[in-house]
Order: sequence, then structure tokens, then C-alpha cells
Amino acid sequence: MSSAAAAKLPPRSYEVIYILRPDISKEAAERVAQRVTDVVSREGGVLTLVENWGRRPLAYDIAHKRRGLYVYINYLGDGALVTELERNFRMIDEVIRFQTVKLEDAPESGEIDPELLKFEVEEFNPEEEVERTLEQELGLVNSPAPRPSKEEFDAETTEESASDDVEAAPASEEKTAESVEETPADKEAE
Amino acid sequence: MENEEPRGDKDGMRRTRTRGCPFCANDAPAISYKDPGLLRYFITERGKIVPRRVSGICAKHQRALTLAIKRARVIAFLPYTTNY
Repeated sequence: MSSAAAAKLPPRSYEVIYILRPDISKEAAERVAQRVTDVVSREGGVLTLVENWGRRPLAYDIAHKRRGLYVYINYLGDGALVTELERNFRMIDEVIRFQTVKLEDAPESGEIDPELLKFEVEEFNPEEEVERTLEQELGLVNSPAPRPSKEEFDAETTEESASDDVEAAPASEEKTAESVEETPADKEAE
Repeated sequence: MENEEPRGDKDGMRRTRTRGCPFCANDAPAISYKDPGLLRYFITERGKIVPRRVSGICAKHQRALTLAIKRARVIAFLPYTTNY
């Protein structure tokens, strides 16, 4: 097969989820995102969507981490781009897991909103990420940071308005009124 | 319990209940590996995929569901096993 024949094929649509170490700095996460952008454009692909899903608990430990920073991207490209991008993911130490999935839908030819390509990360807060020592792991000492349970995993994806109501209930009337105002806004945002 | 479904014969026939595939319904949710909340219904406590004879899913959707669960495991949305 000649390269000319391959070039005639229409680009395919792929989606990738990659997971970064949870303790990654804002700058390092942006560097990884920039490198992904560079690789896609260098290989003749088009990035169509970049989403930061934030730090989520992992269902099992990866690289001794219980959480990971999830990033979701969509792009148009060919098989060579997929290979090249995955080769790059393997070389970046901050990426602890990645998965490419080919989308069934035909690629859209419409214009891409540059807003969708913005990548924003919140600064790492070390207080969230208290790793347990060996003694705590074995149950010899009371653990300050229990492993996130299934309930917590689910709770992260649900609305925050429920917890607002719980906090507002014993508070004064003013605060209750505020939370009522906030709740519909939260739902609209979702 | 009494009027929920017809009983089998007296000689211990198993209760049967006809129930359609939940994903064949018109307003059924799409099967996606990015939706661990939905997929969680179809794995056991130990993380195994629930067989079709138990969940009542049709063959077509069971194939899609299996693929989605396996993809969700790779990106740590679902566990491979809880025994580690």
C-alpha cells in the first residue's frame, strides 16, 4: 500500500482518556496538554475537544495512587497519529494510564469552537492527598485518610446541591434563603 | 409476593417472569464506558459481569455492555476485582 492511497482515506474520529498523577502541578499538566496538541497537529490531525474531568478516585491503585486527574480529548486523524500519540503517552511519566477508542460516528466537518480546546487545571491541594503509611495500611494505627468507598465514588458524580441542603438546615434563616437561591443555579449549570 | 407473578406447577417448577431487555426500551440509556454509575448495575459485588440469564439483557446489548465494562476497567472507572 502506498502512502498516497492512505492519504485519501477520510480522517477518523477518536476519543482518548488519559489519567495524570494526582499530585501533578498545574504547569506540568498544561505541559502534557500542550504536548498532546503539538503531536496531533504535527501528524496532520485536528483536535476537536479537550475536557478536564478533575481529580477522581480510581477503582483500583495505579502507580500506588488512589486518585487520578482525568483528561478527555477528541480528535480527527489516522492510524499513524494514534500510534504516535500513544507512543508519546508512554514516554510521559505523569501519564499513568490512557485509552484510545475509535468513535463510530462520522467525523463532523463543521468549525471547531476554540473554547472547547481550552485546558484548565486547578492547583494541586496537598491536604486532599494524604497517603497512608504502612502502619495505617495494616490497621495498626487509626487511619486519618480512609480509602474512598463506593459511596464516595458515586457521590462525586452527583450534584452538590444535596450537601448544601444538609448544611443549610441547622443554620440561620438567611443562610437557608441563600442556599435555595443557589440550588436552581447549580442544576442549570449541570 | 402472592400476586406478583404466576407460579409454576406444584411439582416445583421454577417461577418464570417475562421481562424485556432494559436497553431495548424506547427511552433506554445509551451504553457507554464513560458512565460507571450505569455499568455498576451489571457487575457483581466482586466486580464480575452479571450473566445474561440473570440480568435479562438481550444478546446484542450484552455484547455492548461487556465491551463497555471492560473499557471502563482499563481507565479505573470500575474495578477488575475487589480482592486485592
